[in-house]
Amino acid sequence: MKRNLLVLGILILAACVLPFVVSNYRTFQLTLVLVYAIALLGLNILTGYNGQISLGHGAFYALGAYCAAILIDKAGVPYWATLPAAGAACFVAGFLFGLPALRLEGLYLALATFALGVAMPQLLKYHQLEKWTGGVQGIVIPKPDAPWGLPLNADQWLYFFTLAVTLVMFLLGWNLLRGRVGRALTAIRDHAIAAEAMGVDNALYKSLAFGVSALYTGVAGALSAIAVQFVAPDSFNIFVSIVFLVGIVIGGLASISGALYGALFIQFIPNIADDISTAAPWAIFGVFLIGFVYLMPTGVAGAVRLLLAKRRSAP
Amino acid sequence: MKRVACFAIALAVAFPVAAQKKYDPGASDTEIRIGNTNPYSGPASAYGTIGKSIAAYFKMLNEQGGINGRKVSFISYDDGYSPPKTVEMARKLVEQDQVLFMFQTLGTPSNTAIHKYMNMKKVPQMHVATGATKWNDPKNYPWTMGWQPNYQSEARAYAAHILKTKPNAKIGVLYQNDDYGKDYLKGFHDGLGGKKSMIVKEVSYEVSDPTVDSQILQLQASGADVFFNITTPKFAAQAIRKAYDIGWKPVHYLNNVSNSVGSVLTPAGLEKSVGIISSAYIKDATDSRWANDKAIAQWREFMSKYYPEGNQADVFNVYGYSVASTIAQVLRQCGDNLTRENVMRQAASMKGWRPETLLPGITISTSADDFAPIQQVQLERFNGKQWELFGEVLGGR
Amino acid sequence: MEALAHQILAGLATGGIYASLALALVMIYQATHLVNFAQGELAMATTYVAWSLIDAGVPYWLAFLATVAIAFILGVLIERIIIRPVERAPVLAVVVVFIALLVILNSVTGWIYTYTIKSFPSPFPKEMALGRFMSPHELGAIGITFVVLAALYAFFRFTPLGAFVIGNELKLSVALVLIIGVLLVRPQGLFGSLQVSRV
Repeated sequence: MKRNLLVLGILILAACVLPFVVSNYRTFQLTLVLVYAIALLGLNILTGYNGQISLGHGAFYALGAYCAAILIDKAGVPYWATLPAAGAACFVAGFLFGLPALRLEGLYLALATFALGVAMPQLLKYHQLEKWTGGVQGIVIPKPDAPWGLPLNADQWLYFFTLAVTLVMFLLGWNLLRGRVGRALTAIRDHAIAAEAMGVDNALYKSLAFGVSALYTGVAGALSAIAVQFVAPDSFNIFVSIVFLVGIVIGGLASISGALYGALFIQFIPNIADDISTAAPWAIFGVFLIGFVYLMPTGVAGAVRLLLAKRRSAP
Repeated sequence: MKRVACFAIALAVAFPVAAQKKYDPGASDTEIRIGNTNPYSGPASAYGTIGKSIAAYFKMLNEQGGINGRKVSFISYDDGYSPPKTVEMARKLVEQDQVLFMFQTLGTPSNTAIHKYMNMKKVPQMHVATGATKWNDPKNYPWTMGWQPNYQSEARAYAAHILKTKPNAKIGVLYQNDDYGKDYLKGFHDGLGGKKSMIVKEVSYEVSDPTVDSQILQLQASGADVFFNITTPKFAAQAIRKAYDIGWKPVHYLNNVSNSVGSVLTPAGLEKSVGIISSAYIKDATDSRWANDKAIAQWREFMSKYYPEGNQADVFNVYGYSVASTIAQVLRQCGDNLTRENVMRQAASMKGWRPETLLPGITISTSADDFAPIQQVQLERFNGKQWELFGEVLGGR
Repeated sequence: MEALAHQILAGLATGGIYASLALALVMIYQATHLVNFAQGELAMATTYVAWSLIDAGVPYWLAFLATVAIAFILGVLIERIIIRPVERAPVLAVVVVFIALLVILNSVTGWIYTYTIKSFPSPFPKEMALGRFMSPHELGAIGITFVVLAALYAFFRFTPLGAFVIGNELKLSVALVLIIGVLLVRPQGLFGSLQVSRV
């Protein structure tokens, strides 16, 4: 336990030092890594811990992003206040989606969430809502400057802000998952009937899982809108949802650190692939994917766990 | 004391000379770095050849000694016609690759996404590869400039032609549901003015749709006998083919951005494209009228030597060559003062210069409140083999 | 009314193509309980192979058969080399492998054939049948769908190999099923203009 805290402390310290030693653009990329980590943790809660497959989490990501964008652009709400608003809106949306989804399992749930993911860009382009959503052109958001006259540029400030939010969200998530709720969720995933028999209210917990998962992803979406300074319907196509799924599988299902590994993967591997081959970068990305799955079928987190276990057991 | 004096004099002499060379990030004694995003993949990938032809042009320039002795580094990234990707790549080009300016970023939605960013960062967004009217706004966006004739005036030209030749027409419109499509549509509405009711059906499509077959069926069913086709190349080809296959033969007006013989009409079927009307401002190499034209001959030589895999029947490659030669002229005019501000200033003071690959009678003209270099077009009709220009050069000062 | 008839018939034709794709997907699912996310890209890639053959001068139906054979081999290879090693992994990991396959096929095909639009000839006569309602091409597409359906039905019902495949959900059947899947998909694939679009 103490060793874990030490490692965590070192990591946080390193994270705080980074923006001062790398370029602004890199800091921007790292901010996105943190944003993806929050989104992936959300998806992991639903799919990794609770076993409900979602191929449509991009929709909640979009919902959170647009909440933030509309509030900032139309209502002049300060950027930090949009996060709880986006989170709350997505929690409600996720919970409401989770209710009818109770009837669906496995492939059919995947299909239903896929439908949500596919419909999202079109919904955002719906011309009756154009007054709010800015239609196809989307909404451009100004970048917040560091408050209280701190000697940080906008990119660095945003990085630290995101880092703080990430730490809070991860702490809350860790607490949730290791307590009663977490056990109930994994019980439902492993054997739903037995869980019900033991007194777990399946319907409530499954819907709650959807809600909490959507909340996390929504907050991530809001942060991404602020970081990228731009939301448009075509930014949130089905590919976003698929990339999230890829992220949690590569990172490690049912693992909190997995969310971070997955986020690093989905942000940087495409860039590395681009450097290797400008002709067919996605092919390289695909090869990376296959490689990771072959070598680490339980994800990076799973591999790390195995490695640590081996070290512990070896004399 | 004498030494100090000598040194001081030397400095005084050196300084003014040194002060004449002014550089912003991306420019130096030996290099000018230019950034670009192009859809090399994705639904608009037919335009990717523009980026390639521009790269080939700079390669040719570099081999001939560069511009004022400096080599051009043309850094171009694929954005897949996806605005969020464009934002990411633009940031990379400006902040990581430190380019002097962005040039010919392609796509109306793509450029919209980086419009505010470029102006905030005070980095020129030069000669954007889109004709949306909003790029000509030097008061609010002094760092953005277009190049090609704008969509609204093109659409107005078509509307005027319809009013003149077919005043009782029933018009059907197909448009891409985004900034670019809506810009054309607005121009068209404005051009028809009080006669807007001639439009009996307007249908849109999304860039993510696989085909526009259903939309064509709807337009035929509406009884339209004139068809204004506002589509990007992939969908234009589908629309032309489908209209022919279902036996619908309206008077077909095709927007300029998809009238390439090589990459749109040939896949659609040349015999299916007979009679289509469009507009042009660049010489199309497939037009036999330019068979002995010096500029086109030079262009063909350039293509064979520097871009042999490019399609010479594709007018997009003449476009790339023409716009690249424009920016080369701007940079030449900048001399040793390669600041971003000077690039914009030189680009906004081109009077009467023209690349010879533009149609005769069409010139480039800009000023401090006119950021629209080309404003003239000429209508043309496809005869099954090539485009035939007709009428006179429209638009103008 | 005419428009409705047009749309219905056009829909049937396109639907026929989708039906064949779905048939292939279902077959793979029945045998392996895996959803092949890369089905669409497999169809696209094999269609490009067909285009290459036709572009090189091979007559249409010969190219058709050749592509079917190539699809057969491709299916076996994919099953052996890519799917087999991850059979034991959790389901979602296999999903990721299929997604990787999707992305790779899309990217490699785009790289080989470039992303420009290509024309693909139709084997069916050009004159309209059924009045103005359906092009012969659309009729042909529906026709082929039915032929394939009938052939499959016959294969599973009347041949010993078919019975074997149904009766035993062995690994072998996986290979067969995958290849038949790709086989079915290719003929239907994308008559008309071709263009690879980025996922």
